Amino acid sequence: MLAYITRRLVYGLVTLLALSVIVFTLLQASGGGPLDRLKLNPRMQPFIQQLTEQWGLDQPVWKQYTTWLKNYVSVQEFAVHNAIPIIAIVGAAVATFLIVKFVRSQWTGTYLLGIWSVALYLALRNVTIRFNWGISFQGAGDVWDLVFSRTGATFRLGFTALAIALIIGIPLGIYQAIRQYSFFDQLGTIGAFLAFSTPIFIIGVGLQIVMALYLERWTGVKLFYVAGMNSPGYPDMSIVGKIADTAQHLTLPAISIALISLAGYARFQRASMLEVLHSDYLRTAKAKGLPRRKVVIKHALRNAMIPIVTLVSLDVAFMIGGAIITESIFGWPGVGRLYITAIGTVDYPVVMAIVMVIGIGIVVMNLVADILYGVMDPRVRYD
Amino acid sequence: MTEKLLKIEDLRTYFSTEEGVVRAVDGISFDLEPGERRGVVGESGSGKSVTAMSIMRLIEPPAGEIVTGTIEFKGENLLELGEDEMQAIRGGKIAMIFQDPMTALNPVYTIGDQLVETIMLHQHVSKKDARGIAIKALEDVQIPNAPARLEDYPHQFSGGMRQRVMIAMGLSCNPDLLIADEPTTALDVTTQAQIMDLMLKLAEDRGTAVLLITHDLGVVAGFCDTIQVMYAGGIVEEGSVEDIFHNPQHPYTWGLLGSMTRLDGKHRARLHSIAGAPPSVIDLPVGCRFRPRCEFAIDICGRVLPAIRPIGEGDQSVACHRAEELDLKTLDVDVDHTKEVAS
Amino acid sequence: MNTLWRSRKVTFMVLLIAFALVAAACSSANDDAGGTEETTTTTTAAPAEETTTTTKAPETTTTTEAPLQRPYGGEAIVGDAQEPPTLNGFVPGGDNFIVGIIGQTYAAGVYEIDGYTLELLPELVTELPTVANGGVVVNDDGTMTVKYTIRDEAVWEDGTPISGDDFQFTLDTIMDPDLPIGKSTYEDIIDSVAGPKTFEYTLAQPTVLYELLFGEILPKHAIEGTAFEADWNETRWVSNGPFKFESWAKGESVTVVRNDNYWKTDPETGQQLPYLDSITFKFIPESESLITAFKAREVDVIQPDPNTEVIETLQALEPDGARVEVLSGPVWEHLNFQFSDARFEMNANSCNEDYNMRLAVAQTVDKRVLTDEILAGQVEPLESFVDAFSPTLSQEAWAQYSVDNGAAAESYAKAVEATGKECSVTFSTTSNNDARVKMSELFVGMFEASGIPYTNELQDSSLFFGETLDNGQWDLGEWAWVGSPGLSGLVGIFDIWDPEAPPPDGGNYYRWGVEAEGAYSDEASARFAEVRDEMNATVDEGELLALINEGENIIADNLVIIPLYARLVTAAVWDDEVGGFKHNPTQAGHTWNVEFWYRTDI
Repeated sequence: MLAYITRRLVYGLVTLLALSVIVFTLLQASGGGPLDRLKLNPRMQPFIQQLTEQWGLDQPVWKQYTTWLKNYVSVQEFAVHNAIPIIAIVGAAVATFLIVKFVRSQWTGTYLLGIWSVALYLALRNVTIRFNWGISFQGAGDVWDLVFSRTGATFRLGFTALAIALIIGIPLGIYQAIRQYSFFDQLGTIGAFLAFSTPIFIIGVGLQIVMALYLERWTGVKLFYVAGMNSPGYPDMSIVGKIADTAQHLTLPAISIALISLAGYARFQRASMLEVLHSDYLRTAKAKGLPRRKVVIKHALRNAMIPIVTLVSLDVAFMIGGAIITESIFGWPGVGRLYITAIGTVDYPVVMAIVMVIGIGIVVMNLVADILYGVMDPRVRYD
Repeated sequence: MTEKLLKIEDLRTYFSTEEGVVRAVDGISFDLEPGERRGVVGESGSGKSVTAMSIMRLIEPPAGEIVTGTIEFKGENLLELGEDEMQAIRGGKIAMIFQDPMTALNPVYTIGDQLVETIMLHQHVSKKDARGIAIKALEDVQIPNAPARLEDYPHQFSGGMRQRVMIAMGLSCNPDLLIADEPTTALDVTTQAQIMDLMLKLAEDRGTAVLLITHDLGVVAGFCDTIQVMYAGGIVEEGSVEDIFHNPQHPYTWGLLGSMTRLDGKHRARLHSIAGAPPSVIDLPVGCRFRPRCEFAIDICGRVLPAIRPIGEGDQSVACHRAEELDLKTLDVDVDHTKEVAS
Repeated sequence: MNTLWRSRKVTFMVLLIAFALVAAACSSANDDAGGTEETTTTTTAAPAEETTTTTKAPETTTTTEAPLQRPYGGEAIVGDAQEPPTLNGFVPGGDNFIVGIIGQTYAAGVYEIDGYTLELLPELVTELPTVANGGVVVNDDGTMTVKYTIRDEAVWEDGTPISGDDFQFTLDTIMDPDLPIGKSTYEDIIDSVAGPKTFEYTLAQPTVLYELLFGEILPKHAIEGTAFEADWNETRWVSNGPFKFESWAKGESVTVVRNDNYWKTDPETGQQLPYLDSITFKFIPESESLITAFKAREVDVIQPDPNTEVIETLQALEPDGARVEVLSGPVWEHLNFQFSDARFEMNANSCNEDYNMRLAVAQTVDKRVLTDEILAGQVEPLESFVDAFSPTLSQEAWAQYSVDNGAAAESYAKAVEATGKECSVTFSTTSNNDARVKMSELFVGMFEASGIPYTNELQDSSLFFGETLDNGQWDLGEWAWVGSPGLSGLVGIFDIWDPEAPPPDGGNYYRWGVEAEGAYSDEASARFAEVRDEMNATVDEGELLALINEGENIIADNLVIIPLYARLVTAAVWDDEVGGFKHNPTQAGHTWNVEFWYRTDI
């Protein structure tokens, strides 16, 4: 198992490295530069040259890449910000060595426990996870701070959407499979195809117009907001007010993201459930005299959920990158929107950082999916 | 006369498909005595498995439906039972084991889970006792190191071992009837023989009636008391194993026997095959369903569907217009007049 | 200018990320296609352009009965498609339009641009220095000294008076060689003297560009000792404007609150400004959503992408209390010719060097059709680029050319004869701008009517502005420049034809008169170079006007470019909520008089 995880991580690293090379090359090849917006001002020329040198844009592409990579994986930044945790852990390790070597007594265990408790407390208390991902070319400052200032919003939206999609999509698919070809099943199928074939842009804008604009006109009550994550007066609101304000802003974008995932989960769960329902072991379960409910819940569901795990795990990885379009439509302050802005302004460091974060997310979630797969399906073995 | 264990009358199970109504089982009747082991023989699509599924009432509407007939089990018409009552019979009074042991067990639960589940479903015992029963059941089917193997998953067993587990599961609740649907088809020949021997021993010891569905007459010969031969949804011949094997009355049975590989080498010179393919059960021919493939067909065979009727002194019955006039046992299947396979 | 564009680049990157994700997915996996939708928006400003001047004819203001007193309190929410990358207007990223829009609330400098007259007004200083008022002196040694007198009442938000030291500190900061700040013009300052309420500096030679210097002053006491480039991206130094920075919810909004120490009073009511308690700038990148948010009154003020459809949608809200201002903006579109040999890479049969060929184009392109079709007739065609800056100064120099397909065919024939080539036209502009695409479609018919071989070769803006322009690889091109008020802007725009300044060091993308790159140079281009030099060497208004006139004539007579039309600008406000709003089409933007805004519903 450990060997398997190690191997997968090594493969993952290689993949990420290849990914970074490809994306970096494509970015360079796609034309345009971060300083283009200054170019049409004739008085800006010396300034452009100054920035070009400062950002290394005059270097050959491979050199720019290696500089980027060196910064990206550099532990220096981490070390600088984590002097106390590093000293604490190293100190505890040295102390452990000395105690074990020279001070053997019945108290050794107690000593070690004490030392490591203090060391770990210090380490966890003072740890700052940060790396040097460079400076944004659009002038938005440190890339690490920039990206991670947006992850909270993206997670809030993503997890809500995921929860909606799972809570509705999975039971829907199961129900459709059990009642295959029923009216409800057909309705679900049509709904899923509609959700799939409608561009997310249309769904988002449509929800805004109907649920935010017209609903208010008809009812006279503002139920949902067109855009944003919180109202300007949010910090001064009561707890109840904050929850309500959050829900009013979160609902529409979450629904518009959830809709497609939901349709996907329902379709996938239906197909997977149908396959299981027609399997031999389900016939066995029925022939054993198990009640139908138990047949479905115990014998069918567990098997039918296995493929969903992969789908959901990868969705979680995609979620890290934010819902690019939805975040833009709903003015949601997430990573996806940052990504679009960064592409528009040819902000390489930010684009690379986000692509790599998503890449890392996918590698990790793939591994998580595989491990979960093994937990759920005893036939899977890691070797 | 003792009470019949199972008495089926005029059972018709139809399936509606896009091409039309499939008359998978089309008016069959037969009885089963307690402890009787009956072979149901026929080609694929002849209605063997549907018969079994009909008895278990595992035909799923709306696609499949038992149109008419009665299935009396111990004097009770199964077709009139509620779902709850039927659940008590499934696995408890009538157990069933399936063709492919590789897929018939749920891959994500240990076989212990699956056995205990069955036992607790039909016998009011504690989990601990159920476990004891499960171990006993595994030992009965000669699985070594049974207590430890309860914790294993199906994929950790070989095919033959899995079928033993299936048999253990089937017999764990001491059913009156065991329906075995091609239990050895997916296994290699040596394992087949072991499994059949095991089943024979267990059935004899417990007095369990067995309905053995197979296309392999060889398996039937060693195991069954009686045989019914099915063709295109109907029974064409039934009788004791001896009668059927030594005195086949229906040209189809005769053909089947001819296509059988005899381990004693008696007929090894040539292997006979029945020409043509079974008819579509959607477009059944008028008259005798076997007529298009029958080398003895005459005019009446194309017009009138022969009813099954007793023949001879024993319990043998046959559905053939010409049964009396043909003396099939005198025809050596080795002779050259058998038709070649037309394909 | 935020445009909803189906950018090939954005689509490409979205696909790229999808690709990246698939690539990263080592084990078999079902990828959700959710991430690969194609439509999307960007928050980039169209590669923006150059500063120039104007004094537009003052608009007559509607005579509403001004109440004697305005109410204090309340907030206004300004919606914008773009979010500032940084709040520091000096460093890279600070050149974004939105940085200035927000900056109006907390930053003040020497001048501001009047939204009604489009003239420069003194802000922190008592009056704008000119030769006439003695604020500008051309010295005997050829240098020029400019002197500011700072208003006595002008203080920072913390009460510290704004002093000459703050001006000096601003200059020192800009000129700090370690800071990535544009230094042009400031680097010509050879001497400076700071007093408590005065500041004067000397430029190496007279230039009217002094006008636009010191547009924002830095507080020495707050910034000295900080890392200017790193520390001020997410927060602001003390304000000298009507509001002060409160908070920035990244990706969402910037909020500013009342500066109680603001030094200005409303001359009309005598009340201390500002009226509002706070202003929130809310960022909604998708222009469709921005308009919906305005309709739903989630924002009070927007400055949307001014296409005619949007304008009509917004105008439909006027009965409900909205007000829409549609103005002719500072962005002027123009057709232009590439003169260097690089154009042959686009069109081997380009005859731009021949005046008759350019004349044929001028006689072919019907500007009226363009404004009617593209801007629904809401704006007049331009007969001179000067119109886009200052109609009073314009000579309408391009009015000498009129559309005539017959004459165009003759001109074309002459060009063919003179050059001995099968002259043709290949038109290039940005493919992700709907108006330009429509223009290219209209051109097809126009050139066909004149019998001139014509092809469209549109490019994605990143390619067009990123490479094509730099390298001069086009034949007939089209893009826009941006103007700015004041004489300095008008003087500045002449740089783009300076034969001595081709890229990469200069802005003469046309390479007109740049012999070195294969373009022709003649008496006209030589004279133009002199005119430009003279312009940059005087600050005398009379001389400048004469030079500007001559320059305009040279460019028009030689058909170096063909001005087409000025883009519309628009802004919408819920009048029943926010009063005092007046859109300003210049770079000052719609927040130029934010201190005068007040709630009409309290």
